[in-house]
Amino acid sequence: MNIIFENVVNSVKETEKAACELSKLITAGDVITLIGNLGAGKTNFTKAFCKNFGINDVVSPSFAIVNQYDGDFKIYHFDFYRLKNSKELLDIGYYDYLNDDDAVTFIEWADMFKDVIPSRHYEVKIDILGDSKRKISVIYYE
Amino acid sequence: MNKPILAIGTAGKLCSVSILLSHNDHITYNYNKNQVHSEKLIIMVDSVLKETKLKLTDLEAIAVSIGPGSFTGLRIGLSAAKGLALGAELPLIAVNEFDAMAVQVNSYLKPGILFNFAVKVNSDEVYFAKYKREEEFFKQISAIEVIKLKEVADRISDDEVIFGNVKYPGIASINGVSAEYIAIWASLFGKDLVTYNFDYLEPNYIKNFTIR
Repeated sequence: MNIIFENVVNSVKETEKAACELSKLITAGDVITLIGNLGAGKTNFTKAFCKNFGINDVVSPSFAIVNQYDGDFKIYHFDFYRLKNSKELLDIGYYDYLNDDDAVTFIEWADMFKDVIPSRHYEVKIDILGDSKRKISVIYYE
Repeated sequence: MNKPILAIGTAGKLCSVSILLSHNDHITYNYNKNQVHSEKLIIMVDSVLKETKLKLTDLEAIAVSIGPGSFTGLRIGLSAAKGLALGAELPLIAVNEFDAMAVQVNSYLKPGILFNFAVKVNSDEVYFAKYKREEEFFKQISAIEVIKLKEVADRISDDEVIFGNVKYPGIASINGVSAEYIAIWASLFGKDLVTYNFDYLEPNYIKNFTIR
């Protein structure tokens, strides 16, 4: 476990800056988990991250479970929120997505099913401190 | 084997289709690319039939790899094989991916040597099995199981060989079996597995997936 950075941000703009900072460290094959309450800005963070790779059509995958975006990287964007158990993930070929070494995978609400998260991953934890004030912690697990 | 066998392998990155004409002759098409299987498989079957000037109804059976391997890949291969078999009233032969890979690598190895397969389940786990090269053919030493990638080192000794698609020192890379070996396995050992009753034939996932 290795803390990459901890930033307190006061606006969406500053969140974008943090996402940009993380995007510099990421290479194809990486997995990024996003942890935070409803409205914390998990999807917004992903949106801001993807912008750096020429992807502008990021939407919340809460309904679809997984979205795929094609830019400089291929990006898989999961959301566990609506799932009842992790077996539902295996049912849609979850590991085929994660085994794709050409893609970066985002997982929102990853803390719901820790058993399917690869041991090596980045964790983005977003704590709500105020209306638009957030604490963003990025931790690397090996 | 009286008539040619069509074989389909989609368990790994390699999307492979072959027609085994006799024990030594085959025509095989391989597409080594991720995520093309659903798009290319039927076209490849069509091409290989055209090349051999055969119709599906001229075949003895369709052999298909049932894994272990990619969840989506296996579903694509098995549904295609079932559809083709049903339409042409052919039987299916379900072939274990690792057994077919053993046929593929066997001839390069000295008799007596132990060889292993480690195929990626996810970044932490692998499908693992051990085989032994015999004077003729090979023998499976340990059943296929899911183990941690970290445990692979404990399972093999220095004089053994390892094949697969995971990061491991000295591993010989293999991204799925080339389909002629599925057909060869089927023609040699598949006699008892020939079935017209394939409605409930499922991929051999090993890991417990819930299939609906």
